Amino acid sequence: MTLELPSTLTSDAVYALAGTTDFLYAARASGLCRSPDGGATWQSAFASLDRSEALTAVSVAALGQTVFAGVKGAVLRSDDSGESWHVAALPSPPPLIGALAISPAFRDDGVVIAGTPEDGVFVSTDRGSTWIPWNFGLIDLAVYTIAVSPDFACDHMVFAGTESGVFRSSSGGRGWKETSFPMDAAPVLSLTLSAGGLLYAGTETHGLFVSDDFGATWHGLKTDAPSTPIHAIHVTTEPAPILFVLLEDSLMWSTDAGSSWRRSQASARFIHSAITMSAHPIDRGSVLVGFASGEIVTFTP
Amino acid sequence: MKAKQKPGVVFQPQVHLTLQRGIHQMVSAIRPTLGPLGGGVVIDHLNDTKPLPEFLEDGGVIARRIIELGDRDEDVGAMLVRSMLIRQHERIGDGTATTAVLFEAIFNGGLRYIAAGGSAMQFRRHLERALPLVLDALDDMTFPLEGHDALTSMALSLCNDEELAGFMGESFDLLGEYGRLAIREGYGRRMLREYVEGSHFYAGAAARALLPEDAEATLRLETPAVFLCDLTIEDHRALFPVLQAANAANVSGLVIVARNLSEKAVSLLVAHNRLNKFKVIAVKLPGLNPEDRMGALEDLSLMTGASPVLEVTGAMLENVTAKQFGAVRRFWATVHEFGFVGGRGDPRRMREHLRRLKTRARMAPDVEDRKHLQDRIGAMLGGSLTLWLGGFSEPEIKMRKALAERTALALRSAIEEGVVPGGGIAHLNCRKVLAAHSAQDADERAAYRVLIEALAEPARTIFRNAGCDPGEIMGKLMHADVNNVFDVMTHQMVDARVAGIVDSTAVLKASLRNAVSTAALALTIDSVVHLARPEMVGTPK
Repeated sequence: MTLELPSTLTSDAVYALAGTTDFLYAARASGLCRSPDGGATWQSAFASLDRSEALTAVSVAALGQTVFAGVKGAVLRSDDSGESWHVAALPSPPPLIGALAISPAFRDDGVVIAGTPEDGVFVSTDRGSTWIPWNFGLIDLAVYTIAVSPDFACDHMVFAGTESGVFRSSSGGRGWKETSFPMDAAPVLSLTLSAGGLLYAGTETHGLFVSDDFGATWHGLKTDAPSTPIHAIHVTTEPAPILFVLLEDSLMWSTDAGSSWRRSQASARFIHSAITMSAHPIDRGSVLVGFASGEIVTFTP
Repeated sequence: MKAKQKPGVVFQPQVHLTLQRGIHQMVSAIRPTLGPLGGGVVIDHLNDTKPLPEFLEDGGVIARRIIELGDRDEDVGAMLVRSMLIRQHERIGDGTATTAVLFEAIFNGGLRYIAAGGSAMQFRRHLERALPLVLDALDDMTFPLEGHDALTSMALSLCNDEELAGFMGESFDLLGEYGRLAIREGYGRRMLREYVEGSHFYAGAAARALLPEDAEATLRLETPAVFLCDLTIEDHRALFPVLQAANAANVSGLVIVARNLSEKAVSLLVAHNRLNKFKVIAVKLPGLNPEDRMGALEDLSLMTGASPVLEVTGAMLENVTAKQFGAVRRFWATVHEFGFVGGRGDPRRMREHLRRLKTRARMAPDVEDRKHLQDRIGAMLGGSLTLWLGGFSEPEIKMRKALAERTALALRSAIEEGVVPGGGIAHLNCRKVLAAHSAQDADERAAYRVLIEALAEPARTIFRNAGCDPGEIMGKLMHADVNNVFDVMTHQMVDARVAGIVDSTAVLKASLRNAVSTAALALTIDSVVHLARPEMVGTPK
């Protein structure tokens, strides 16, 4: 494993990361930052909002030049990589947008889905201009993570990780049904649906689960740290399929779909809690990890 | 005018012959409606207030309209069929024509066997033993019904109305089998739909004075605390501890759910709302009887996280603390309804409670109980949909509403239990299970043979109604894949799943149960007693 690109532009926590080929985005307590050079230098992406006080960004998602940033009570959209912003306010009391997911077919369907820890799911079908709370069947409105199917254009499938388990929608996030995820193992903090159709769910205290039938059945994957919160999961497809799992105190990866694991050993970085992980926008085999200290680090197995 | 009926007793072989004639008349009236190319049935005008003939396509409604046959002996058989079909219609909403043709085929087959010297009771016993084998075979063929397109296709096969099917497909794709769908008569010509976010209950504010005086008359609160009780609060002073606890907890608003409030109690809340403090609204506890009210209280408690004060425990309001309060994200109330979004209840307990309610709903023998439980589940799932059905005339709107209700009922059961290949093919496939069974004696062999023959009858009827030769198509189907069906619209063999030609498993299973149990009963009737009926005076209008 190699360690690259430490960034200490700010010392505030990194809540979410997203990247395109042009920019890397980091949702921080001080606002949304972007880096045009893979993390070497950072600048505020909220500069055009001209605010006197910091606007905390909790989530971010990007595709091409379109960027979405989740803040308390609103979702911000930029169509020019963060130069200017359109604000879509959400109904009061202001929900906190903790998770954002863009449809892989966004250019055609304009679908963006937002998860909130108190108000369930909001869906926009007009590229983020307006948002509607769609929570039919979503009994548990404490949504911590959202995963969209890679084949969303055809199957309209979305998954939500919540306080009590995993919910599935086959109507693009409008109607929801509970899956058989064991309630005792919840809350579910992270979800990822691989291109091969494997759905991974990371829990707070019960380790990693996987489903190969879109949530109908689940089984636990053995890891070295079964009771450590799993904050993020990512599956790379190129150059080789690697399953990355971000724990609070380490990063684990598996090249055999979870049968065996390797772990980042006692890295000094992990003195501070790791919070988020994202695919590296350029180096497909690497991941970016954001820390509570504000650092952003690239890990390459 | 009804003539006076003399008492009498009818014995065999007259009983079976007249029953058969009555059954045949009733089933023949319904048989043409089976399948996508089935015909309609016209019922002559009922009375002078409805002079126009009634055009019907639904077996259940046709059965309802046939109140009596001319011959009193034949009438017994017809009424046996009628009650069976009404049961099927009320509980499942579909499959009446299938039930009718299955029933007649089993009855006729059984009658032949009994006429040849077989034992009716033994035949009945073997029929009832064979039934689970067929039901299991249907379960084995079942696959889930999900997705907008599949639901729309299923709805279209049920209602034959493209616009309505589109709405139904979308509605159930969102709501699922337990979602709340209200079907109402609209005022325009088009269909409209209205989504309501969150849970809502059919009980409004305790008094109009508690609502704003604007045209909308809807009170909205953000993140209020919720206090639940099933008391009738007569003395306004009883509310003081509740208001004090809320004030001490520094709530942003308070919702009091109680069975009722006296005028003085309402006046206290109105006076409180004039102060520059938190807003209070009192709403009535939903439910018309104690059982319903307890159910509503249990649901509200789990959804909001509130600990209710119950009259039966002898608890008093003076001991209320803020710990007993629940909370919601958003609350609204009108004169007739209240609702909320984002209750703070424990989602795990809610999900467990919902599972129990779903099990109770599935097991509920009474249709009304089942509907009531479904409504409770729908309220807890959050979100509801109202369909406003339009049309060119009032009769058309009413007809569409009835059609939509039946379609919704059948769709719910199809989503819940899944679907099997349609067009009568599922019944045909079940015959293999019966054929593989090795019978122990002649009675058993006869029962299985009759059932095997009867299971082909729905498919034959569908083909015949579509103007096709059943013999030729049945021959083709014998050599086709188990999922292949004959599409009577295109006259081609197609994959049922791909073409969306499916039947609800719940409907087919209920049809079989109804047909077998009623035929088994009818075959064991040995004599019919006619009671004296007094002459009716006057002409009914």
